[in-house]
Parts: sequence; structure tokens; C-alpha cells
Amino acid sequence: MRIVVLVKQVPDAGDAPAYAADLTVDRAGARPSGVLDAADGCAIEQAMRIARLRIDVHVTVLTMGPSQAAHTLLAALALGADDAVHVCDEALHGSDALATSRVLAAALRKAGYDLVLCGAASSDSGMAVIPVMLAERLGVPAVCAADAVRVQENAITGFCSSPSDDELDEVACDLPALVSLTDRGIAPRTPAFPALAEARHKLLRRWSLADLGLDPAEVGLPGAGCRVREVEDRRAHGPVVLDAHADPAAAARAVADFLTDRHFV
Amino acid sequence: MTDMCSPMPSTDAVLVLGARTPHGGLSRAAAESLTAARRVGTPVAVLCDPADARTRAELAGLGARRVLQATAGEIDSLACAARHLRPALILLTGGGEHTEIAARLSVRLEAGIVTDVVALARGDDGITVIQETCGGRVRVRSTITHSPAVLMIRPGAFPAESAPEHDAQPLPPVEELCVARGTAARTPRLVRRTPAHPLDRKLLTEADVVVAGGRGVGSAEGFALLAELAEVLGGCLGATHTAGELGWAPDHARISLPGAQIRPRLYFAGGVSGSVRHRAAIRGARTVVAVDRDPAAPILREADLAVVGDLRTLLPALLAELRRRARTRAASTDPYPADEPHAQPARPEQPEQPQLPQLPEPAEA
Repeated sequence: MRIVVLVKQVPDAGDAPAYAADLTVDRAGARPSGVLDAADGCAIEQAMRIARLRIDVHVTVLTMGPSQAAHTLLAALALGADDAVHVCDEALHGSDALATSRVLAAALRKAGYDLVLCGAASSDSGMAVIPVMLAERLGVPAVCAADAVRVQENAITGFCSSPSDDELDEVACDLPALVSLTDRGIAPRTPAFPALAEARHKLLRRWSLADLGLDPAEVGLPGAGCRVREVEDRRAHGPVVLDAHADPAAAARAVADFLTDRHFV
Repeated sequence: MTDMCSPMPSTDAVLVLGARTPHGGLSRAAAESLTAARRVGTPVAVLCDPADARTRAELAGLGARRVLQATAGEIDSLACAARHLRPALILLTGGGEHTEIAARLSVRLEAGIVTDVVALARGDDGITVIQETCGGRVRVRSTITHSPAVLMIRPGAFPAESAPEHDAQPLPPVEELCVARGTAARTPRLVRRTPAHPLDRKLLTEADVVVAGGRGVGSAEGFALLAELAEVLGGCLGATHTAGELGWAPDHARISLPGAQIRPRLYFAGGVSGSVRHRAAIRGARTVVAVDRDPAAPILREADLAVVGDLRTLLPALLAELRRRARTRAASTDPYPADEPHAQPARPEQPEQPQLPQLPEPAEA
């Protein structure tokens, strides 16, 4: 059974992503703090737990990103994955969700899979649409936002909480299938030193767009459905400071305005 | 590549899914989508079940110019309508099953997808979209370059409003849409649904909104006010280590290292100075609002909105303000309450309602 875990390098939690001059998220730039997304870590741990219960499991981690994303693959290999695939091409820079799903689907077809695991939503963009888009492209059933997965011989069961959080759903489907996992799952263990050392000797394949048979015009910035004109980090200018000593009612209105503006009420 | 990727749309139609509530009325998501669609084009509603008179009246009131009725699933129907009409946009309201519809539609039509849209405008260089990512912290403005594009609007970003009088149509004609069924998406089957354990529901570490207090709250009674605020905002109550030690809040509510490490979309800190351990535990918070008496409190530097003031006067005022707004909203934005079919929106409080500008800047200091 082949399990492919899709991983993504994201800016470290707590930081808003830095943006490059062309307004794409700066994944290669000055901050080398790109880390494995938390939900992807849970997906790898889930794959390792399945692998421990069966003897026929092969776990591949797959990412698409600039050359720095290989660090994330190394981290994933240290967590126990068997080999890694890095889809890396200059033309991929600035790809939107549609192009990303096209590339990942091609890479998954080339790699072969019985079960695809991925994070439900990344911490940098959080669109949460890639899993469904991949399922649509590959024609496999998708279990979205599961907290855990159990694998039978030719089927899987996913455990998901309903959107309102007051019900737990147990859903099942046959393999091959795709499961997106939330970061509520089991967090990955900290790898031991031998695992870190071993990770460097595992197979890391680099595939370009030509290897996948894709047209560079369909991906990257030229293929994107919209063009980003402006990005504003609203915390970049420091906090907005209000003085509530003089007029608490006015300050309360300002706080309520702020909460309304950010869609919290 | 199909012909769907032509550079410009041939029409200014905006497709909206006319989803309905179980009671038969138009869902709030559909009403919000139609409100947003009116701003950038001609709204065309796609209905996936029979169009009764009530639905047609509601659609007309919200400004839908055409109603397409299909008998297939949502994804097939919207894809088919998009191929026929060549719309500029397809609008869906984010959250729930609409995310799946949007994602599958995007792949079928090879259309770009933009999520978390909070504002829409049509300008000289086409349609401009503003989205909020990173829990509302980062605001991205982009222009649509390929049509159609699938947009998922943020629920609540476009409060449902009836179309102005001159815009409202008598009753839009209902056109039958003949849908060629695509290959049905393979979906997992639901095996069992169990109610979640009450303790599993609102976990501090997973809450979207956390309201926390520290020593500055002053008393256990002060925490009761914070708990009220947490309820109004639909969040969880937390506390600092000190407040826990003082017995004002339960142990499991402690946000500290060691203790709960949280990553909510909104973190509201009242009377929290912001020790190193506390700040480390809230690193994952996306938007931080902090209220403290001391202008030099470290938490104020971490905040998006820092309020220097007395919690005991601010908190009741804030609670009153939020409740007043909730009442106004309930009265004004649900144009068609479920128990009154065909009722025109009763909006007696319209003049009093704070007219929020479309993109208000945070209040200046």
C-alpha cells in the first residue's frame, strides 16, 4: 500500500508571511524559518501509525516549492517517511490553487498512490481547497478535515467533527482515497538523532514540469486566475492604540468597530 | 485548456447558487452572495430544486435578474450554467459544503479560485477583489484576470440587503437549465454520527475566539463579565497563570507555559500585562485585542488593537455596544425571516444602524 503525504513549507507560526517584490509569499527570502505545516506534521504521524500496523506500507512525502522546501522534506523524512518527491521548477513560482492542484495531481499520478494524506488547511493561506481539487482531478473520494483515520484492508474510516463542533462523524470510503487531516490529530514525535541522520540518506527525487509533462504556461504567475496588486499586513505598523480613560463608551465603540471590521461579530 | 480560459468574459453575469434552508426559504448564504453579486454585475441565480413562488419573490427582492432552474446536483448545475452564460464570476459563500462545491467547480471549469473575499468592486481594470488571509491580519487586493473566477465570500462580509426599488425586478423569469450529468463525484458515506462529548466542544486550545483575563481584572466577579464577553463573541474563557493562582479562574483555563497554548483567530486580553510565558503561549493568535491600564504593558506591543484604560468601565460599555449591534443586525439584515414568507424587510431601525463603510480603517488613535 502506497501512502503519499502532501506537505507544505510555511512561514513559522505567529509570523505573518513576508511578501516578495512580486507580492507572492516570500518562501525563499531572508527568513529561513520555513517549517513543516502543523497539520502536515499530523498527516505524517498518521501515515506512520498506519505503517506500524501493516507490513506493506510505503510512505512517500511530496511537496511543491522552491529549492528551500527540500528542508521540509528532510524534516518529514526524519519523522519516518520512506522517500520524498520534490516538484521544483522555476516556472512554478506564483502558482495559484488551480495550478497547484494540477501539478500535485500530475505528481501523484506519476508517483502512484493508494491513500493520499494531507493537511486540511495550511497556516499561511488557509484556503482549504486543494484536497477537494485534487480529489476532483484524481477522481477519488475525499474525506475532508478528519481528525484521525483508520485503515481496513481496502477501505478507510475517517473521524471528522461537524462544522458546528457538536457532532462527530464517522465516514468511510474505499481505497484509493484522499484524506485531509486537521492539526487536532496526533502531533508528530520529535525525531531522535539517528532518524535525523538517516533522513539525509533517504531517496529524495526532484521532478520538474517536463518530468510531469506539464506546460509551463499553465502554471505560475502567467497561469494565475487573478493578479495581486497590493498586500497589506495590518500589524506591520504596530498596534492601534486607544485611550479609554477619558471616554470608555467611545473606546468601546471603537473596539466594537474593530471587531466588526475583522468580522468577529 | 478549454475555451473557458478566454481573457475576458463575454457577459457581466454573476452566478449565484440559490441554496435554500430546510424550511424552504432562501438561505442566508445565498442572500449574502446575491447582495455581493449586485455590486459587480447582473446576478443570475441557479436553483437546484423547484422554484416556488416564495423563492422567486425572495430572489427578485435581492436583485436576481434571471433564475435558472436545474434538476441536477449543485456542482453539475453551476458548471453547466457557467458554460452556457460565460459569467464573469461565480459567487459562493465560504464555509461548510460550499467549500467543496467551489473547489470542484474551479477544477471543472479550470477557473481561478479566491477565498475569504470581503470586498468586491468593478473598476477600469476589471473586477477588484479584496480578501483577508491569516485570520484577517493580511489584506490582499487583486484583480481578476481570467474569467470565470470562483469567489468564496466571507460569511457576514456582505450583510444581506434587498435590492433598491429601481433595481428590484417584478419577478425574474424561471428558465429551465438542461444539465448534462457529469460523472458523479465519488463521495465517502456517513457511517455514524454521534453527539460530541460536552467537554470536547469548546477546548481552549482549539477555540476560534479566546477571551482571557489577568490580575488586572481585579476579582472573580470581573471574570464573570469576561465570560459574558466570551459568550457574546462565541469563544472560550481563558486566564493567565496569576489569575489562576488567585483562584479567579479554573486551572484548565490557564494560558501559559506550561499550560494551554492557543491559536485562536481572535485573542482578547483584559488586564493581562503579558509575561514572557503568557506571550509565548499566545504566539499562534492571529488578531490580538488587549486592554490594560498600564501603557507600558508588554502585551500592548503585541496587540493589533491596544486599549489603555480601565477594564471595569470599558467592559460593560463594550458588552452593551456589542449587544446593541447584534440586535440591530438581527432586525435589519435578515430580510426574510423564516416565519414571515413574502414579508418585505422590516427595517425600522435603519436610521440608527451604524452605517459601516465598506472598508473602514481601524479607528485612529
